[in-house]
Amino acid sequence: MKKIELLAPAGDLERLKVVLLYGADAVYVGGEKLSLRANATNFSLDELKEGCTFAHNLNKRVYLTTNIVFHDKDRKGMEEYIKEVIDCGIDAFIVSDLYLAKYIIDNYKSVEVHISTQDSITNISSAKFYRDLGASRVVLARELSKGEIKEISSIPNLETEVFIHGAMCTCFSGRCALSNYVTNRDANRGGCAQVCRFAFDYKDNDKFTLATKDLNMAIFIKDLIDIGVSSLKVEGRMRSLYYLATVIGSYRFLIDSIYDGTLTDEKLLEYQRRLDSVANRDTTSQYFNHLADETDQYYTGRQEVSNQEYLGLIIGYDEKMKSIILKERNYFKVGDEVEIFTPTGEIYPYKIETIYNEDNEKIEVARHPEEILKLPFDTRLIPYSMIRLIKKG
Amino acid sequence: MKLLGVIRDNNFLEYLDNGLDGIILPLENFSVDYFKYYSISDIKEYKNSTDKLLYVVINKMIFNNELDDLLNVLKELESIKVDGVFFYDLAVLNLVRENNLSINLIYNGTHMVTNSDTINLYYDLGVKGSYLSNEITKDEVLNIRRNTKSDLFILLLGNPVVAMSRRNLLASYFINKNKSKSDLITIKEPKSGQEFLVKEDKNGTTFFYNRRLNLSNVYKELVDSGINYGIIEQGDYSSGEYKELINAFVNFDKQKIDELAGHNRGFLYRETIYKVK
Repeated sequence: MKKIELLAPAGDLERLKVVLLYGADAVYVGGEKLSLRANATNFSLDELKEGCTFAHNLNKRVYLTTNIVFHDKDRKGMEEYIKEVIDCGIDAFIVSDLYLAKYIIDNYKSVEVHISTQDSITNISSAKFYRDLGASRVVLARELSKGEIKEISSIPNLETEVFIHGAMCTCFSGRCALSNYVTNRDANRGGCAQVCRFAFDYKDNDKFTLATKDLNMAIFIKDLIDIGVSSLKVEGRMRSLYYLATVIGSYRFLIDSIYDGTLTDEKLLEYQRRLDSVANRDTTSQYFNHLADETDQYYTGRQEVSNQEYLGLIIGYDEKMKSIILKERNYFKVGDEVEIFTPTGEIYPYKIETIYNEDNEKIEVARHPEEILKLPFDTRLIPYSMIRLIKKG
Repeated sequence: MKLLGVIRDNNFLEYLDNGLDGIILPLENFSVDYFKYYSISDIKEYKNSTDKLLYVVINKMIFNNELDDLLNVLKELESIKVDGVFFYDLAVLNLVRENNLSINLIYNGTHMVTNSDTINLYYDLGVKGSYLSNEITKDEVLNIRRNTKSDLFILLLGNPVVAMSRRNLLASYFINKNKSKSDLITIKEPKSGQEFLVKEDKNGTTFFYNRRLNLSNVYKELVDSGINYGIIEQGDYSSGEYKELINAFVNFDKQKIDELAGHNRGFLYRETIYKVK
């Protein structure tokens, strides 16, 4: 039986490398055209080519989101663009528009077509429709229960992809134009202003909110494997390197431990805590076990909290000083207890006793984001290792 | 252009006599985003009462446990010989094709009916009509008309649907506030000033724009372009007002329409943006 795929988002080339190194089996990215995250830093053709080469060298895959609901004028150059990105080496398109899906299926046999969650596939019959059209995979609507996912996943010759982590839309994907009406930004062409996170005036000076909590399916990964889902998708092409490294690394650990039968309750709890630590909103399993209800919603205007436990990205090693070189992200100081973690899953507990600045002068406090610093450490670490705060000193 | 009504009271025969060419009936349990729903027996009764056009809406997201019932109602609608079924979920198209049902389908993708190619593909798949999105410009409407063979439907007058959620957002809100529940409220986005009607029923929550869309200013152009069907919703108009409106479209009296419906032209001249620098 094929092992379930862990599918990660990447808003740029660096994120692509990070998520693949941290254990994603495949990555989804947006190009410069036809992508629903029009305001993310999307991939140029050169970057896409480099990303595909990087992924394929690791025996991993790259999917390109071309999931806008296009208007006639967006049609210009579409065929050329499709050919260009296929030439870059992508493995699949994630498509929403039926015409575009069929165009790719009819003209390019070397590349897969996955139907976007934007199409809100909620039943066996519509899933079969897409399979018969030639799609190899459907990304299911986020409004489905375990039983419903299982039934759709039983369709022969069709893969199912399910969101497991990240932000949720309040409305059915594709059935929301709040952004169009409030901000004139087209939600279905990548301009979504996330109006569902705004607070609205309601009578008696009250505020009406419709924002949802985020999704976290860590404790249900085994269920998703057991019911035959093909791919587990993490949301968040615009998320930080640290967030992506932590989330992807955690799910990689959980999936592998489930497959090799070593996942304990204690470890599951530990990784749940790790996932919670990078979340900037509360999380639930949304529709998986029951219809989403009042416990899955927010009732205050602003829901995000900032996360300051990410201390730095390790960018090199100073052999002479036997020190790791890092780029600072958040304040830390001598006395803090931290963890250094690597893309391959190693975790080193570490107490900060000495900090050097770029001129090799000792400092007590690191307070300037982007500053290059050094910490004594005996071992050279692989690129994209990171440091997180465990306990302030 | 044929005029179709979406009504909220029981006076459909009067409206048909007044100039509507047909009516659109949202099917209970299988449609969302409306204020009044009809059973199969209601639809039969309507069909037996008039020779005018009769369309049915099946636009909810369909879940696995509803597929058998969906097939049954599609068979019933085939036997009733309704003039068409507006659909959102592709399960409807798939079931009609798999079972060789003789039903005229109209693609009703709400915000997703925005380009000629996709409409043409649906046409090739046997879907002979498309209900255009409210969020496209007049030029886009006319361009689609020029480039498709499909029958085109457009909302001439009514409150546009803005969003639909499976969640019971009003129930959740009122539970949290420990207040008695209302199934219909009005909310306002403070910065833009835009108001929305929020309505909840057993299928979830729908957001409607709280200003009626009124395309009276391009009505003649739409007629001349060959848009086939225009939809006029009763909304909260009284029976008398609604008849006046229908009359005003039939005898085209723009001033009267605007007097009754205001001047919100929606996105006719307002192109949405999606890249923000």
